[in-house]
Amino acid sequence: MAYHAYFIGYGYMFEDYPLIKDNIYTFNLEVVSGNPHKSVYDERIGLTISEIFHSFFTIQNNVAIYICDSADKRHLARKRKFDLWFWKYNDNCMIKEDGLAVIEDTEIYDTLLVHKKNEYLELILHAFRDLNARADDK
Amino acid sequence: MNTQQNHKKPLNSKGAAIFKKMLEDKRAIHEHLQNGGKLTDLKDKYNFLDPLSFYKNK
Repeated sequence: MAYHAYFIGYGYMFEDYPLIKDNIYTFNLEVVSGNPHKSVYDERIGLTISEIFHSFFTIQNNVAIYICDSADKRHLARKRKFDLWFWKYNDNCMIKEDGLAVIEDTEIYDTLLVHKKNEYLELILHAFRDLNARADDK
Repeated sequence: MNTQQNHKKPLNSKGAAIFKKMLEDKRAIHEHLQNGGKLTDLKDKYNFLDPLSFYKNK
């Protein structure tokens, strides 16, 4: 199995949050070769993801969001996999918060990863929760 | 008696536009890679994070 792991900046979509927008990225993992549904469990994948995020958070103000695509109905399996990796490899420097966004009757599981020493931690958590809130929630 | 059920549709999240864009981009990149393309082909279209930037301030 081979994967692409990458981050994309989305600061331009967070203009309402000028203090944090320049450090907001999504994380994605793409299969390059092999069939993940048929391959045996490989611990190295989780270890690699863990190392990637530890490197990412050497800049403590970085923020990562990942979303689980539901197009192939395997979004819950993906979410469980990421949850497992987080709980197995987090050394308590990262905070994880899960959200569920509703977009045109489609539910999208989304997750925030932020360093516990991020100077804008509370603002980031508030912004993330607000994004997931329903448009007419009071 | 009105037996018609009132099916309440879930409302869009406030961040719908943002998450929708993220999902669209994710799918577009996936399709590009599935069609034999490379991530480097897309460097001008998406703001990929340079992993070397993690260490520049160290």
